[in-house]
Amino acid sequence: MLRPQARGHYPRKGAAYAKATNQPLAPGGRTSPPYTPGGPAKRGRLVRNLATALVLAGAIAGSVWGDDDDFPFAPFRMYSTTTSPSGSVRTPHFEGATASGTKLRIDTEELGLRTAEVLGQMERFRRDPGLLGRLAQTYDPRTADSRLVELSLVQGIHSLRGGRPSGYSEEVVSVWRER
Amino acid sequence: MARAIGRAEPNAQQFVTVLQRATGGLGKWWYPRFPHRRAVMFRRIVYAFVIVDVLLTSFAVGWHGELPGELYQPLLIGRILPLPVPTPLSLYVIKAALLVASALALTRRMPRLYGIAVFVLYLEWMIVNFSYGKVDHDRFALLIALAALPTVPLGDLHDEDPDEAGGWALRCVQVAVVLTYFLAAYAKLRFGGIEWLNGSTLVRAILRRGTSVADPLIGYPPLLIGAQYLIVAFELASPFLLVKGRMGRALLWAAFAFHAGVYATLRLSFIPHLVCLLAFFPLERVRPPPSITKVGARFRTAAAQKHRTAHRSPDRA
Repeated sequence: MLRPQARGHYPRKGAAYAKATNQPLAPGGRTSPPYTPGGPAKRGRLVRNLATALVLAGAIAGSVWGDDDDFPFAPFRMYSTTTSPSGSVRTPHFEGATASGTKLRIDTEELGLRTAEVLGQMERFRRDPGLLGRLAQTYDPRTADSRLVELSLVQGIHSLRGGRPSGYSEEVVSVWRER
Repeated sequence: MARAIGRAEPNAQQFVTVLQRATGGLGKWWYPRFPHRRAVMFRRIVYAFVIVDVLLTSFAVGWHGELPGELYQPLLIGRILPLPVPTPLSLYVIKAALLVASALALTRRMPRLYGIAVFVLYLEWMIVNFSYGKVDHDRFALLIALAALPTVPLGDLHDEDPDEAGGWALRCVQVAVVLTYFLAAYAKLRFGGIEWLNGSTLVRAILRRGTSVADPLIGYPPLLIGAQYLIVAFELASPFLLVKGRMGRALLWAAFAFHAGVYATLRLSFIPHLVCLLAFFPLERVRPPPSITKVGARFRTAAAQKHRTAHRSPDRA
């Protein structure tokens, strides 16, 4: 039996469809949708093909010529740089002093930044210690005395020899003090 | 002259035939006739995951609103659109909208509208996430899934008929998963050079975020270099994930083993990517536990009864 071709992939169900296809209306007012061969309509396929080609081209071009800035077509570069076996590994953290004089070691996450984000903006912190001041204001003090009056960005430097850690030193990258 | 043209004609025809066949084959491959139920199940998993992700795995994105505006370094897309500097309020609104849109996408009403809403909101959520100095690549496949799923017309959940629209969406996710691995290998070559293989990148990773499982490994550089070779070998072999049969399955389990290892040693979960790996599974075979089905059926029967009572015609009453 030749059925009229419904537009699109799955034809609309219900009374109108049942009437158009000369089918008895199933209990509950719905007919089961017969599969229309050919899948998505021609235009749907064309749009899908174009979208596929564009996204593929974007992802490949981003990987070959692009940079992080081109997200969502950025290169897939997590852990893609090489650390020399005789080089060093830098791990940042913050150190603060509260109004009551207590010294604190503050992990980057406590100030709302991931470690990689601090590393990504390291040079900005170095150039502009005022940024640390603005960051210190976002630190959540439990009491007025635990408000930060000093904040430094410190880099732990693990030096490597033959691919093994062989020493540790620290470098203060930037310091902000409340005036 | 005429002979030359005469000779050239069959070649040209052959070329056109070969091209047509190749295009046809590629067309069939991009539109696999997976059961409709597979796409529906994958869709459910993805939208349910977005809710989990926003609340649990990527909740830290919300912190960014508290940060000083100067730390916001908008990506190209954020500068073109141009997207506003995130504030606690704006991120709260995006988060709430994302939760609502994902919940609505889980219902069967207006799948295209809610699907597009989830994609746009999640993209913005990620733009915020990556605009503070670090861009991750573990969410590419999820973004592709969110972009492709709204194109799947929703039929009956139990419909196991072949569905090319659903097949296309699933294929896109599969290709995105493979690209994530393969292009990660390429990025290592591009940014790290061939010396990446013998370098100390894993030592760096362990020193920065190693777990108690990983810390003892730091004393064995050859072991870590071996692991680096294995990582690149796996990433380069990833296109075989798309091959049917034993090879594809072996690589799929290798992918899960790889991510389990990475999580155990570096606490890098790659969960959004793992969800997309499910696009390789025959999800149509997953049946909810009978208890849930029974509760659902009871709920539906009760609702239908209530509906009948409310709309009972006066002559029957």
